[in-house]
Formats: sequence, structure tokens, C-alpha cells
Amino acid sequence: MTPSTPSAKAATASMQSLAPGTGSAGIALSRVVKSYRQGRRAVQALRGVDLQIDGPGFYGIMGASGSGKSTLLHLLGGLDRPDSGSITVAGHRLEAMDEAALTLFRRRAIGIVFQQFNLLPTLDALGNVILPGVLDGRPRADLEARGLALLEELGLGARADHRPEAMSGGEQQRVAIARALLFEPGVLLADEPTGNLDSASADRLWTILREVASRRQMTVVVVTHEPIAAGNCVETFVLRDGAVAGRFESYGLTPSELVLRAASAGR
Amino acid sequence: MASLHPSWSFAQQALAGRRGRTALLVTAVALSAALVTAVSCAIATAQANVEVRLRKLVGDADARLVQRYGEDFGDDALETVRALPGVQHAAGRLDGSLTLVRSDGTKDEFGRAKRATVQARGDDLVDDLRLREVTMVAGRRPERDDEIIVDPLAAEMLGAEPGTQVDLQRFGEPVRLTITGIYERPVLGALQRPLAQVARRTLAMAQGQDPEVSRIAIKLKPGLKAQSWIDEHKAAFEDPLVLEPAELATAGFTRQLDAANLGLLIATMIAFMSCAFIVATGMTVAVSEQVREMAIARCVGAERRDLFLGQLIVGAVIGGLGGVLGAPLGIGVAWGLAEHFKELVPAGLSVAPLGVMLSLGGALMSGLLGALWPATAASRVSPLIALTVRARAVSGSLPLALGGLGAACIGVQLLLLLIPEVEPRFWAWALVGLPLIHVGWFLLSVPILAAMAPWSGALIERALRVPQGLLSGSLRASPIRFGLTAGALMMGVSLMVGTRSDSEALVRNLTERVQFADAFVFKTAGFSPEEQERVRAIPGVINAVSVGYMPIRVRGFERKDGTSDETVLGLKAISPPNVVCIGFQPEAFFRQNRIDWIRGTPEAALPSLQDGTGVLVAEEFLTARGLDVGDRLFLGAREERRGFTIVGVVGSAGLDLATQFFGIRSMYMEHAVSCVFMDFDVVAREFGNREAVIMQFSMPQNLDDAGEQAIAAQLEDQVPGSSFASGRTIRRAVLEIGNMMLALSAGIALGAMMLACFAVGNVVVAGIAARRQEFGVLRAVGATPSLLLRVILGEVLAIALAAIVSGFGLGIHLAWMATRLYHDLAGLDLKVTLSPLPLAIGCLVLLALTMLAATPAGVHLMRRPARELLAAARGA
Repeated sequence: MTPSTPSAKAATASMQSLAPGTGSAGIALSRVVKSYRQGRRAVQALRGVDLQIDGPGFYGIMGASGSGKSTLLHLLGGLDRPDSGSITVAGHRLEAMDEAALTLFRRRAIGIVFQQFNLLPTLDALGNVILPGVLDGRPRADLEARGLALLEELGLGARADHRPEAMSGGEQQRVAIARALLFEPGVLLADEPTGNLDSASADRLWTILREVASRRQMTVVVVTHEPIAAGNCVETFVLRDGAVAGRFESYGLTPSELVLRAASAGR
Repeated sequence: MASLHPSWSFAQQALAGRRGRTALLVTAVALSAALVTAVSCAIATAQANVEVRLRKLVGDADARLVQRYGEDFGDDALETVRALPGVQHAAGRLDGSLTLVRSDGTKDEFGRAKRATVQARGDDLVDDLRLREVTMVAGRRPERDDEIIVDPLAAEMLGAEPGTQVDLQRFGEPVRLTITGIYERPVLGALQRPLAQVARRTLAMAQGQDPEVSRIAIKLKPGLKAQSWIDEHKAAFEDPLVLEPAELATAGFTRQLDAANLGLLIATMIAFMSCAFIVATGMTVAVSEQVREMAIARCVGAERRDLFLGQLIVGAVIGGLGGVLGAPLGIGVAWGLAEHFKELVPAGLSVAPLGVMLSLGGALMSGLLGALWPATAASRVSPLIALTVRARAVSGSLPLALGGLGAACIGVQLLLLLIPEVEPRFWAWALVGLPLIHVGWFLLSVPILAAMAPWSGALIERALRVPQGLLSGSLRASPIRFGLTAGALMMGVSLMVGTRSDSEALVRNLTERVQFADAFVFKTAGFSPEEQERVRAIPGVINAVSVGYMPIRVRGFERKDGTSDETVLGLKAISPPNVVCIGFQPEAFFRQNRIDWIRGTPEAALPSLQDGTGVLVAEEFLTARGLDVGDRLFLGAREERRGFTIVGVVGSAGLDLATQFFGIRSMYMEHAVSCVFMDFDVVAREFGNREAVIMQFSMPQNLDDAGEQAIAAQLEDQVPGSSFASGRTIRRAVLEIGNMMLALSAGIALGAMMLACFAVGNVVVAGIAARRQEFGVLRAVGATPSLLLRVILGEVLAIALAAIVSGFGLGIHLAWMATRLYHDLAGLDLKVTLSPLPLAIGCLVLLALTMLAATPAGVHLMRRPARELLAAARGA
């Protein structure tokens, strides 16, 4: 999945040249703590997470509901700030960044794919893909060339001018992946990306994400509660009660093996 | 019978689950209800105060009984008048002249007993109080026949104060009177002479008359129209007694008041429509984001009826609560306006019960009607929606369909204008047409916004540095939501345009009716040609017009149908053969005075007047003699017999008012019935008379009161025995009333716009809250917080621009309809008036206020973390 046409190659090069921290695909968390208030109650979602990914590769973060995995992903994506600890993603120290810097970080340095796709209903597929570039003030022609190339790669070239409600869940998620890849980031984060997809679409999506990790030399981190998803990952981290309980090599393991390994991690 | 419990439960969840949203919508309803109440109370206040001022200016009488030739008549007519059905009060008034001398012999500087010859008005002391307000400067009104009140001028001449005794000079023993008070002069007072008011009996006795009256002022019971009542009862009085409308009606002021009543009804209906649309839009926006929740409820077994009723209950609660909060707020706003314009509205605040009831009922109905569509949509939600995650559908051809529906509503409204009878046409328009106009333009707001979106969105993106396509795409993709919000905001604009146009047209009509010369000079003995030249030579006297007065005989008639002489249907005409020939300078006179051409036109009449072949007559002349335009009169001072053609029939409401003020009404009446008007030079040429009894002239525009008095002083020097009277002072008083109406209408328009802006602002806020997830996505992919604010302000700006376009359309439409209604019901010929500057300022205020109303929500959104906004997708 690499750009094929000359104009698309040029656009890609353009996106890459302005993406800060390009080439660095590592993630490092050290004693990260995060709490939330729910009404009068304070809930500690993360209790000192230590995690190191040297990258690139396809990694998973597994955990039961309430284990803190979405919170962790939000912190990695610069959508939230830790109460304490340090977070380094693609060469950026996130805990030291102000809001403006985090905004640019989200725009250029990483890509995020959500469970609910989170496409803007008022834009067509191409418009959604190039949105980060539009926000960055890039030349429209370059953006459209790049966006079309990405959609072609993901098999959606013919749907560029279709709005989200005219697409299936799988197609919408692929548009979201294309958007995440616009600036060729070093890190791509995915929060339960197959949560709203049927099994066939889910399988296809895992294939896409694996190829993204391998061919683009990206670090892809997937948050999931599905054992079968972890089987696609090189390595899987297990979150339990707000901390990393363990890690294991998970690629190729059967679902039952994955469940056992996850359950026994850290015990 | 099915229980309401599930519906109440859904309603409670919807209301309490999103308290902030509920508060926003209740506030929107409250502001709309306040709009209705404030508009109706403000107009009622303006109307009440205008009426008070007008009645103070011209008196409270609806009709009057006078003698055709201006002479006094027996007061036995008073009993006849009082016995007529529909008469609330009647009072006899007698005009005369009195000489008062200080009883204690106090001397003036020349050693003579202080004295004053006053223009006196004899009143029926109790009855007249009900018909004309007298403002006392000191002391009290007279209560007995031996009491008198004087104006400050008379008091100064007599050196008198309340309690001073004066002797009324007459044939026989003087009559001792006690001055009980000093009263404020009416606007002018006759010929600037000192004035006094005394019991009618006393004045009659002083003049050696039997109990007589100069006129009987009549106040009718509420609800009776003066002209209809006069037509019904005029036969009760034999000629020369004439029943006619009082000054309030002849000067057109009753029509102004009728028009204002009409304006109140229309404005209240418009404000109610505004409230309904604001609420409907807000409810629709609020409910649309609850579709998923309703789908979930359906998944777990909720019935369609439960969801439907639940939404209706929400609407009723929001509407009812908003009405209860909004009505007092509206009264408060109206009170604030009345306090701010205290000098212009001395009668204070008038609360319009109709407006308050409409506000409360309208708010409740708005809540219910506004909830009807969302309730229907809620009841039709499929449970499958809860199981799918799909982006919201974007409308396709719906804007065009809504536009077609809107155009159809307007078309139906226009068809109602074809109803031939006036009253059914008015009620059809008020009850059906007016709502249809508003619904039509409200729906048209959607295609208007859709049509404007490409260029308005691009323009705003450039102005606010929003990435290309972000705003315009949003506008194009959601024209329904944005268009309906623009429709709600449109109401404020239309109120501004319509109210301003109506007020300006009414004020122009009012001031045009009292257009006459700046000044008048009278001399009983007449102005010789040399004196006329001396008047013209006085600095500051511009375009002096001489008006002559010459008795003449009618030598015969010749009608177009061939009848001639004084025979009418075989009988001799009753009217006297002696008439008065009024010579005037037509061109200059027409320029200085507004003349109502009842028949004929100035363009057709002027050549005939100037070449000496034509004459004008007043309507009373035709009535008395059964003549018409085109008939010929033969006139002669001695034995000559010269023929003239009647080329026009004229009247002048303003002159009628002026003559009443100047106290020369009897002379005017005599003129009206028994005179013809012809060119001054023709009178000189044909009948050898070049004397003038009245001269009227214009003065420099920037001349102040001191300058006016200087001219008056010079006139007295140059032409001893002449009396000066200011026409500008009357016009100033009328203009003051007009300006008050304009100021109040501007206040109403601004207040209406502010309320509409803030109400719609709340709707916009609710819309922002409904799109949190969308904004979260933008933040997640790298949009800065300030960009969100700019996007929101950009959307609001686009809504406001569309609202201005549709608001102008609706406002002009309403103003045009109003001119037709005023013509049908109040007999006024008004034109749609659009003043660019005030409307431009109003539009700028609208843009600023709407953006201001949305800014707090935008700033709040800016400060929310991206994660929190995204969580909205999960229903958080």
C-alpha cells in the first residue's frame, strides 16, 4: 500500500516532510497516573502505567471493560493529559506540551481511528480524508491527490464523493484509516476499530492495519478487548485495574491461547 | 384507560436528563413570550399616551353641534343632544369677550385700574371637565358662577393670583368674580390674546344674552364611530344647526388612533408567530439528538404512544414554564421603555391584557405545536436505529419542497385579498392570512439559506479564516436546521422592517395632514395694498400670500344638466344669495397649505383660477346649494353678472384645526358655506377689490422663537392693529407626537430584535450541544479551539444573513399588507417606507447581537477537552 501515481508520490513526500518527528515510531510511558471525577466520585483509571514500544510494528493493548485501555489510548493520542508521569510518542514528550502543541501533534504526528468511525457527516469521503490537511492549510490540489491515492489503496477510489451515510461500516472505517494516514505519521492508534463491524469487515480491517504497520514501517497500537484481535499483533500488553499486568508475544496464537495468556499475565 | 405513567417518565427523563438544554429552551420560550408581552404593552402604552396628548391638544369631543354660519344659538339644544342615544357627555360652550378690572382698584403704571380684555370661554363647569383637560398652573378650577380662571397673560395684565377679585364690566352693575386659579394656555390661544374661562351663564349674562351656546361638544359612548353616529342623528336638528365631527376626527386623528389599534393587533399576532417558530425550531433541534435514545427505548418495549405523549408533555412544560417566566419579563421591558421615555409618555405604562394572555397562551401553544413534529418523529423511530452506527442523514431535495410549501402558503394568503367585502377580508387575513404569511416565509428561509450558502459560506470562511469548505459544506449539508433557525431569527428582522415602515408612514401621514403656513397675520379692518407690501418687506417674511374677503351676490347658477338659477327640484334654494368672495394667490397658497382635493385636481384647476374663469368651493358650499364641479356661478358685486366655472372642491383638515386654535372658526365656517375662492388678482380685476384680511407667509427654516417674536413685533409696528399667529407652533406639537411614535416604534423594533436574537441564540446553543461529537472529531484531527469558535460564529453569521434576507422579504410583505388594511379600515393612504440608515443599523445590531448570543456557548465549547466532546458519540 504505497502511493502509485507521480502526483500522489509528490504529495506524500510533501506530507512527510512537514510531519514533525517523522521516522520515530516509539512509544514510552513511565509511571503514568490518570483519574476522573464521576459525579462526586474520583475514579483512578490509570495507576502508574509503564509501557515501552520501540516500534515499528503492530501492537495490542488488551483488557476487560473498565481496565483503563481507552483512557490510555486518549493519553497516547494527546486527547487528554496525565495527572503525573511521562508519555513520549513518536519523539514528542506529551506531558510537557501545551494545548496548541497537542493540537498540532494530533494533526500531524499521529493518526487515530475510533470505534464509532467519527467521520463528519457534512463532508464526503475525500473531504473527510483530507480534513487534517485542510486544517493545516495545505494546498488543496496536493491534498486531493494524496487523499485519492489513499482511498484507492484502501479500495474506495470509486466512493470518494460519497457521504458517510451512503457507506457501510467497513467502508467508513477504511475512510477513517485513510484520514489517519494522511500525514504518514510514525504512530497510528486504533480504539476498538472493529467494534462496530461484522466479522468479514473486521478481518479485512486487521489485514489493512497489519499491512500499514509492515509496509509503512509504522507503529500501530490497537486497543481491544477481543482475543482474536490480539492474535494479529506482534506483541500484546495486558491492562488490569489501571496498570500493565504483563506483555506477551501474541502473533499467531489461537483465541483460547490468547485468553489463557491474557488471564495469566502478571499472576 | 391507558396510563400516562410511561409518558411522564420519558418526559421527566428528557427534561431532567439534560437540565442545561431544558433551561436553554425554556429561556428561548420565555424570551419569545416576553417579546409578545413587551410589544403589546409598548404599543398599548404608546397608543394610550398618544391619545392622551391628542385629546389634551384638541379636546375629547367626538362630535359637535354648531350653527352653520358660526352664530350662537339657544342652549335648549343641549337637552336635545343629551337625549340622543349614544351620548356619554355633552357640554355647551360659549365664546365671547370680557373686560375684567381689579376690584381693589390696584393701578397700573399709567395710574389706571389694572384691567384686561380677555377672550373668554363660557363652559358648563362640570360637564366640560369631562371633555377638555385644563392644566392648572396655580389654584383650582372654578366651581361656581362667580368664579373665574385666567391664563398667565391675563394674570400678568391684572397683576392677579388665585384669590384676587375682579369686576366683570357690562351694561349695568359690574359682576364681582373671584380668580380661583391660573391655567396653562392651550397650544396657542386665539390670536395670542389673554384668555379666561368662566361659567357659561356668567358669560351670557355679561354679554347681555339669553342662555346661549356657540357650540355643543359631544362625547360618545365607547365603541361608537363619530361619522356613523352623526349620519344617524343629524336629522334631529334643523338647518342652520349642523351636527359634525369634532376636531379630533376632522383633523384625522381618530383615524390615526384606529390605525394604532390595528397596529397593536397586527404586531401582537406577529410576535406570537415569532414565539411559535422559535420554540418549534428549538424543540426540533433538541429532539433530533434524542432519536437514538428513543430507539433504545423502543428496543426495550416502549410504545409509540408513550414516546409521542412524552414529547408533548415536554413541549407543554417548556412552553408553560417559559410563558410564566416570560410574561412578567416582557412587562418589565415595556416598563423600562416607558421609564426611559418618561417625558414622551407621561401617562405611564399601559399593560395590554390581550397581549399578556396571548403571551401565556401562545407560549403554551408554541410548546405544544413545536413538540408536535418531534413527537410524531419520535413515535416513528425504528428500534433498529439503536443498533446501527451511521452518520446522520443529510437532506436532499427537502429544501426545495419546503420552499414550494412556503410559496404555496403565501399564494393562498394573497388569494384571501380577493374577498370583496372589507370586514370579512380583514378577519380572513388576520386569522388565516397572517399566520400563512409567517409560515410561508419561515419555510422559505430554508431554500433562501441553501441558495445563499455557497457564496455566504465562502465569504465568511475568508473573513473568519475558516478552512475552505468547512463552513460552506456544513451549511450546504444541513440547510434544514440552519434554515429553520434563520426562519426563527427572521421574525425579529421582519418586526423591525414592518414596524419601522408602518410608523414612518403613519407619522408622515400625520404631519402631512397639518401642513400649512408658518404664520398668519389678521387684521379685522383689512390690509390695504400698501400694508400688504409693508408686510412683504419685513425681513424674514417669505412668500406672503394675501387672502381677501369681499361680500358678493350670486346672480344665478347654471348646472351641467341644464337647470339654472336657484331652482332645485322645483323649489327655491334655501341658502342666501349673498356669499363671500375669498381672493387668494393659488400657486403660493397651495404650496404653503395641504389642501385635500375632494373633487378636481390642482393641475386642472390652476390655469382656470389664474385666467379668471374658475373658482373653488368648499364641500359645505356644494352641500348647501346642490352644485358640482363643472357647474357655473354668476357673481356680481353690484349690477354686473360675471360667470365662473366651479373647477374644484377643496377641504383642509389642517386649516380646520388651525382655525379652531386661532379662534376664528366662526369666520371660517361662514366662509366654508357661503363663499367661493378665486384668484386674488381676478377679484381685483373683476370687482375692484385689492384688500386682504388675512396674510399668511413662510419664515426661514432656521428661525428660532426669538426671531419669530421679532417678526411679530415688526408686524405690529408696520401694520398697527394686526395680530400675528404662529402656525409653526401647532406643527411642532403635532411633530412631537409623531416623533414620540417613531421613537417608541424604534424602541419596540430594537427590543423585539434583541429578544429574537437571544432567543435564537439559545436555539443555536442547543444546536451546538447536539453536535458535540462532530466538534470533538474536529478537535481530534487537529482543529484548534479557536477554529471551533470561528466555525460556530460563522454558522451564526450565515444564519443571520439569511434571516436578514427573508426578514426583509417578510417585513416588506407585512408592511404592504398593512397599507392595504389601513386603507380599508382606517381610510388612510399610506405607502411602504424603507429608510436605509435605520434599517442598516438594525441589521448590524442583529448581526452583532446574534453573534454575541452564541459567543458564550462557543467559548465554553472551546474549553472542553477533545476527549469529552468525542464521548458524546457514546451518549455521554
